[in-house]
Parts: sequence; C-alpha cells; structure tokens
Amino acid sequence: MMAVEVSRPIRFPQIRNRLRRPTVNIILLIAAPFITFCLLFGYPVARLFLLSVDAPHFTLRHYISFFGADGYLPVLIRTVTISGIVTLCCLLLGYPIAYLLSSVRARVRALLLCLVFLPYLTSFLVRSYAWIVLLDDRGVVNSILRWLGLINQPLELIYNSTSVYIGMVQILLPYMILPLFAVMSAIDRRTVLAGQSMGAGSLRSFLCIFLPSTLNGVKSGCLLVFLLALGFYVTPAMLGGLRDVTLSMLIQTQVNQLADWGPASAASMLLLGATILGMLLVSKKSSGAVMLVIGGANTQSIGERKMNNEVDWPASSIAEQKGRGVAGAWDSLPEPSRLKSFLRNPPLFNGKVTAATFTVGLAGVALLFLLLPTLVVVPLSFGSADYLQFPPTALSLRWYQNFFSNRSWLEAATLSLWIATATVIIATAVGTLASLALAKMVGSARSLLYGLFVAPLVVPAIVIGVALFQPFAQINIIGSPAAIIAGHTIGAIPYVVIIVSALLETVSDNYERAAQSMGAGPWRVFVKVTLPLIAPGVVGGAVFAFIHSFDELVITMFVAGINSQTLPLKMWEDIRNQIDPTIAAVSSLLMLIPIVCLVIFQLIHQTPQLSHKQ
Amino acid sequence: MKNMNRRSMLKTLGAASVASPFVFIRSAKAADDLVVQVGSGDFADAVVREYIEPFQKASGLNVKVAKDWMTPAKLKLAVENKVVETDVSYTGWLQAAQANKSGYVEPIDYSIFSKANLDAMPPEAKQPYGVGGYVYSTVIVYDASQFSDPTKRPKGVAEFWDVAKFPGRRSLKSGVYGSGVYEEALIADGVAIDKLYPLDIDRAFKSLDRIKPHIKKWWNEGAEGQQLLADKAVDFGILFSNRASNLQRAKAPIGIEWNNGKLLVDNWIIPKGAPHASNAQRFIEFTTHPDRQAAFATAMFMSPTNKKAFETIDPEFAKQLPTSPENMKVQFVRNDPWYVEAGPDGKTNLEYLIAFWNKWITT
Repeated sequence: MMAVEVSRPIRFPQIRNRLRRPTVNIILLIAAPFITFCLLFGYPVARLFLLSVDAPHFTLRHYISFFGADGYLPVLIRTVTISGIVTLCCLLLGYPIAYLLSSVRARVRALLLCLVFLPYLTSFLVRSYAWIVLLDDRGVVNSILRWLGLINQPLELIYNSTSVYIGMVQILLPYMILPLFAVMSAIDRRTVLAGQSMGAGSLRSFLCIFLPSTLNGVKSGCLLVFLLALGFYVTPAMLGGLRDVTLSMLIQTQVNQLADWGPASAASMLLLGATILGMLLVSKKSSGAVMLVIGGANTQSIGERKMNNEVDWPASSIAEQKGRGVAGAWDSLPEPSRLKSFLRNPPLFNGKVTAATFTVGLAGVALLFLLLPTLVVVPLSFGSADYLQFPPTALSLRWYQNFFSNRSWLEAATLSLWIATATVIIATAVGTLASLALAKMVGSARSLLYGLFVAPLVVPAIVIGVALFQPFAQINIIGSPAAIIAGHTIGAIPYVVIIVSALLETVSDNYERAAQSMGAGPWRVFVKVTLPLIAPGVVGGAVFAFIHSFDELVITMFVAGINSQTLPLKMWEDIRNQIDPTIAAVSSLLMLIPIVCLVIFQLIHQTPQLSHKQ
Repeated sequence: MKNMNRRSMLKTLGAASVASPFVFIRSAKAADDLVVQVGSGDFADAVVREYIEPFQKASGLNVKVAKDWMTPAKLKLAVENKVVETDVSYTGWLQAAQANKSGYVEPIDYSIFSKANLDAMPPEAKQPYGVGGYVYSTVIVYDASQFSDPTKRPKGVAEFWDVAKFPGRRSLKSGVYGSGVYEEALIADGVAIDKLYPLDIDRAFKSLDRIKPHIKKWWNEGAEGQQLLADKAVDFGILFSNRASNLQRAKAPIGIEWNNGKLLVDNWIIPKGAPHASNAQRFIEFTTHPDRQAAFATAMFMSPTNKKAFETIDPEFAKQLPTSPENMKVQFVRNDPWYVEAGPDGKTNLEYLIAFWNKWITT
C-alpha cells in the first residue's frame, strides 16, 4: 500500500503508526482557528467569568440570586420554551422547503433560493413591524378573515405568544433551511430509487432511506435555530405580551440600564455551561466510537454507506462546477442527458401525484409565510405619511430620496458592506479550518471544542460587547473598523462551523483516502476533493456570516464609538426617535441584493449543460 | 504535512493582511474643541440647529456632533476605561443621578451661569451633577376620532383605571427598564400626590394587577407607543407628551389629557474625564438662555426649563407645552433621585422595582 507522506525518520513502529494517525494534522489544522478564537472570544469570556464571581473577592452571590430573588429562573424557563417551540415549527416548515430546493432544476433552485433569502437583509425591526401590520386587530389577516365572513370579532393575534412565535419562526426559518438543504443536496437520490425498485412505496422510501440520511442536517439546523432563538429579544419585545420576556431582555436591562455586570455575567456563564454540558451529555449517550450526534451523526446504515461509497463520478468534474457549488452539483453529473433529466425530477415524485402535490403544496405555503412581511415592507416604503402607514393612503418616493440624498445613510451602508466582506473572509477561513479539524476528532474532546466554537451564539451579544470594550480600549481600537470586524467575526464563526461540520459528516472519509492513495498530497486532497464536496456548506456558512455581520447591532453599539456607524446602528438609532419610513426604503433596497445575485447566476448559467466535459 | 502547516499559516497571514489596513486606522482625532452627543433623528437635528450652531457662532469654538445615544452602560465603560469621547451628553434625570452616585460625571460649574437665568429655573433643573435641559411628561392620550363624546374619555388616572365606565383598549409603559407607571398606579388607588414618595411598591403592584388584563400592549420604547396610537391599535394610552404632539402635528386625531401628567426632566451632563470639560460647561450654560430654549421647545414640543423662555413663545402654542401654567397645575414632577436611593442591603429602589416587575409579569 502507498505510504502516507511522512517526512521524519521512523525509528519505532509505534511512532510510525501514531504519525499515520491524523493527530498531528488535527493540531496543525486547529491551531490557527483556536488561537484566533481564544483571542477574540476566549479572553472576553474569561473576563466575564471574573466579573460573574466579583473578582477579586470571589463570591457566588450572583449565581445564587439567579436562582432566587432576581426572577431570572422563570424567565429562563419561558425563554427555553419559546426557543423549543420555534425550533420545532422551523423544522416542520423548513424541511419541505429544503426538500423542494434540493430537488428542482438549477434555474428554479436559484430562483427559490433567492426568494428564501430575499427578506434576509432587511432589518428585523422592519420585519417585526410588518408582522404587527399583518396581525393587528384591524390588520391584514383579520380584515381578510372578516371579509370572508369567517369571524365577527377580530382574532387576538398580536402582542401575545402567537405573534412572537410567528415573528421568530419567520426570521429563523432560513437557518433551518440552509443546513438541511446543504445536506440534502449531497445525498445520492439513487439510493431512494434503489429502495423503490425493491418495492418500497414513496412514503416508506422517504421514511426509511431519505429521512435518516438528512438527520445530520436536522440536528445542525435545530441546534442553530435553538441557540439563535435563545438570544432573541427585539422580536419578543415588539411583538409580545407581558409574559413574553426572554432572558436576553433581562440581561439587556441589567447591562444597559443598571450598568451592573455581575448578574448578567453570571447568567451568561450559566447559559454557556448548560449548553456545553448538554452537548457533552448528548454525545456520550450515543453508542460507538464515532457517534457524534451534534453536528452530524453517522446514522446511515452499513448498506447506505456502501452505496454512497460506490458513487463513481470522478472528483475532478465536481471541481469544475461553475457558479455556486450548490446549484451546479446536479449539472456536473457526467451521465447521458436523458437519465440526467430523469434524475432531476425528485425520485419520490415518480408518478406519484399526491406525494408531489403534498410536498410542493406544503413548501409553497411555507414559502408564502416566509415572504409575507416582504409584501408589506415594500408598500410601506412608498407611503407619503410621516410615519409608517399601511396601507399607504398616498404614494411617494420621498423615503428613497431621503436615503440617497443623505450622506449618513450611504456612509452607513458602505461601511456595513466593507465590514461584512472582511468578516466573511476571516470567519469562513477560520470556521472551515476548525470544522476540518473537528471532523477528524472524536469523543469528548470534539464535543468540548465544538461547544467552544459554537459558544458565541449562546453568550448574549450585549455581554460580549461589554467584555470586549476593555481590551479594545486598552489597545486603542474602539471605533476603528478592526474592532467592529473582530466583534462581528466572533459571532459569524459559529455559523460556518455548524454548517460545514454538518456537511463534512455526510462526506465519507473514503474520498480523501482514495485521493491520497492515488498520490495526492494533503493540500491537493483538500482543494480537489474535500472542498468541492463541502462547497455548499462553505458557501452557506459564508452567506450566513455575511447576513450576521450586516445585521449585527448590539456588539457594534459598544465597540463602534461615536465615529463609525453601521447600517443597523443607524436604523436602530432612528427607530429610537421616530419610526422613520426610510428604514422601510432601506429594507426594500437591500432586497435587491439577492435579486442581483440571481441575475448574475442566470447569466453565468447561460451555457447549456452539454458543454461539460465528461 | 509541512504543506498543510504552511498553507494554514498562509491563510491566516492572508486574512491578517486583509485586516491590517483597518487596524491602523484610529478614530479621527480632529482638532475639535467640543464633542456633543445629540441622539438621533428629529431630536438631534433640533439640538444641532437650536443649540450647537448658535453656540459655535457665539463662542467661535469648533463643535463636533456625535449622533449617538448615551446609556448608563456606555458611560460606565467609557469613564472606567478612560476612553471618554464625548464632552456633553443628555440623559434622563434618573440616569444622571445614578451616574452621579457612581462618580461618572463632572460637577456643573454654576458660577458661569447668569443669576437671572438660574432664578428662572426650578430647583429640580439645577442639580450639582446636571442641568435640566427640557421637560416632557407622560400623559393620557386618546384617539379623539373614536371618543368624540368628552364624557367617554378618562380625565385622569383614576378614570383610566376604571375599565367599566371607560371601556377601550389600553396601553401603558412597561416597567422592564425600571421606571414605569407606578406613580400612576398609586394615584389611581387613591394616594394623594404629595404623599407619593417613597413609593409603596406593594400597593402599586396590587393596583397594576387590576388593570393588567386590560392592557393590550406594554410599550418599551417611546416610538412604539406613538405607533400604537397612530395605528389605532389602542384607544387610550399613557405616552410621552412629545410623542402625542408629534402625532397631532402629523394631523392624527389625538387628544391629550394633562390631568395627572408626570413631568420628567432630562439633564445635560459632562462625563468624568471629558477631554474638553471647560468648553462643555460653557455649552451647557448656553443652553439655558431663554431664546434658545424657546426655539428648541417650539421645534420639539418639549417644555423649556427656563421660565423666561415663555416670554418669547406664542401663548396659544404654549398651551400645548407640558409646563404651561394651566398644565402645570394638574401635573406632578417625578422624584427621580428617590429611584437611586439605596436600601440597607445596597440595592437601589430601581433595582427593587426591576426585580419585582420581572416576578410580576410571570404571575
């Protein structure tokens, strides 16, 4: 057998065997991300810990009062409940959409992806307001129901838990869709065909073959959505009733109004500890050495793994995909065109009209739900009144004019764009490296490290902002773009890690080993084999990193100083004073970005698939 | 193996080189003589127009405008880490008193103020740590188009609490940030205004229990309350007076009931360690000039603290301001320093209220 590249004299077989194991590779891979992470995040967390125990006195009083007098505990329970329900709803709605996305042709898929991401660069403030417009007593939904004669009294849809769930689900849905979609697009549909050729009906083949293969994505999506939901506070504050208070709102008050770091730090430490503990417990419960539940369990049966490994398309044609790897995957299959067009139609729909209708219908409803606020925001931006008004009584372009003529808006938008680009580059690089290293690790060490990289999603942003201020002030970068980029990168890395890890678990080791056995060095293996296979995940992670940075508000509030203003900062500060319809105009303009991407994609894909060499 | 090591190093270096231009850009330290924090939106525009630009002309100083809001957290971080960027800021009286307790503000130099102006200002506006800049209140606001019959409108807090006689959807200020509608709750329960402080917290919450089921939305930010009335989502609310005036100015059919209004004073403060503290003192003195206060009041529908400003304000317009003579008679001033008084265990009343509120909302 070909030896793995080893450049050291081997004295003892034990050492040679150890070097064959990937431990050294892991350490090298993990070094850069780990150090970056420790600097950016570990140091603030250490400071938080010291604040929570009242260093140098070292008391536990903040932890004790968390469970006692301060009223945090019922709110924590409520927060966890809300997050759980939101995660479940996102799963139920997101799965059909992801399935549809992964099953249609490239052009249609690009269009659908554009629709899914259309609302995502719009401010969550504006989207929350759009829900108020939709769900209010005299809002759109109630008016339609009354007009249809279905109800006499308006339904209580707003300022209670219902509207909070609806608002949060709408905002968090893409975070469920993308991991699911990334995993689904890597599944070989021929396994389902094979099952059907054995006589399984469409439901059975879905439940027994397709669904288990997507569990990686399900778990990653649920993890991401749950952790994000835990940290929400603007949406529950705007849409919720008295009881819909989340832990983040309490921490916000403690930090912003009382300037008391102790209780907030203790609460954050408890949240962090609980998350890591949960991850460790869940990973220990699963049996087997390579059972890594979070981030992707290898739950495929032996038969399915064998089938995956027998896929025979050469690695190089995968690397030749153009445009977004996601959409190009199908098109690079080197097969006769008739079979390819057949495979394009989801196997499950092979002649089964009811299954097709059901899935498409469900996905369609979910998509409509996703887009509903968008349909409100655009008319809002054309209103002529001084405040937000729906439906607008008179139309005007003044808010667009206000945006373009106002230097501060344009400067804020430009700054946000630059910072987001830098954040994406750094976060994607660091996150991908970390995921590669994590994929090679096993057991508790992996869970701990995974938990560390995911931790910024758990620790409330406001507390991170406070913890970052002092070190940044000491090296005198408060207000500089570097500080803002650093603050954003911390929060962006977890997205990349979660999504890329999910995809890495789906990708079998055998591809890498096969390439190595052909003589490829580690770098070549990475570029030619691993990277194309995880490309959907890397791109997805990059997209989320971008959105995170573009939307990031709280940490920026602390580290941006008085000189730098990002777009979310400007929108938030305007909202504090008046709800200026300019933000509706800005949101509508931002929706153009996915449309532009769609157009570019269509232009790239002008050439027909036949031009792919086999 | 070596390749991997080098490549990952190169990657990190590449990222670092992308970032490096930014690291070395410091925040611009121009030759400013004064930095004033003005908030945002219309409010900021009014401050710039009525205070900053005239001050620049009168004093010849170069003033930089910071469109940013001050919070207790930011103030604490800036002062403790010695990165104070702003010289003058305004904040609520409550937050100013709080900041003073922690030693985060410079004392005001009243020796440069004119005696005439000082005498025309009420004692609440002349604190050692801050100067009252403007006054507004929380008042009962109703949708006049729904309630054209005056007998159907609540004429005070007690009637606001009476849901049987005055049916309608309501909105109140949430207590999640500390201050809330506790004074109104006590007045509705029958406490005399001069016996309000120290607040009987238990009694206030019992009174809130009565109104709790009838509140459609507890608003957190002023703009939320304004939007609720604008959207006709509620029939009555207790909002900030300037929010209600904004709606009236935008021709929405909103009525204001000044009875039992609660007056709030916002203070100009100087953060401790401000780089241009002496210029800051001059600026704050400038803001108490009657003509400036009159101009600002007219623009923002908030009352001046210098009574002499009323001499130049149109009396008809003045009726809409919180501290006009008729409106003053039926309102009371919130005692902000009480909120930052600490009990024997070191917790301030504000912290007690927040803790009580967090418990109360889950019951």
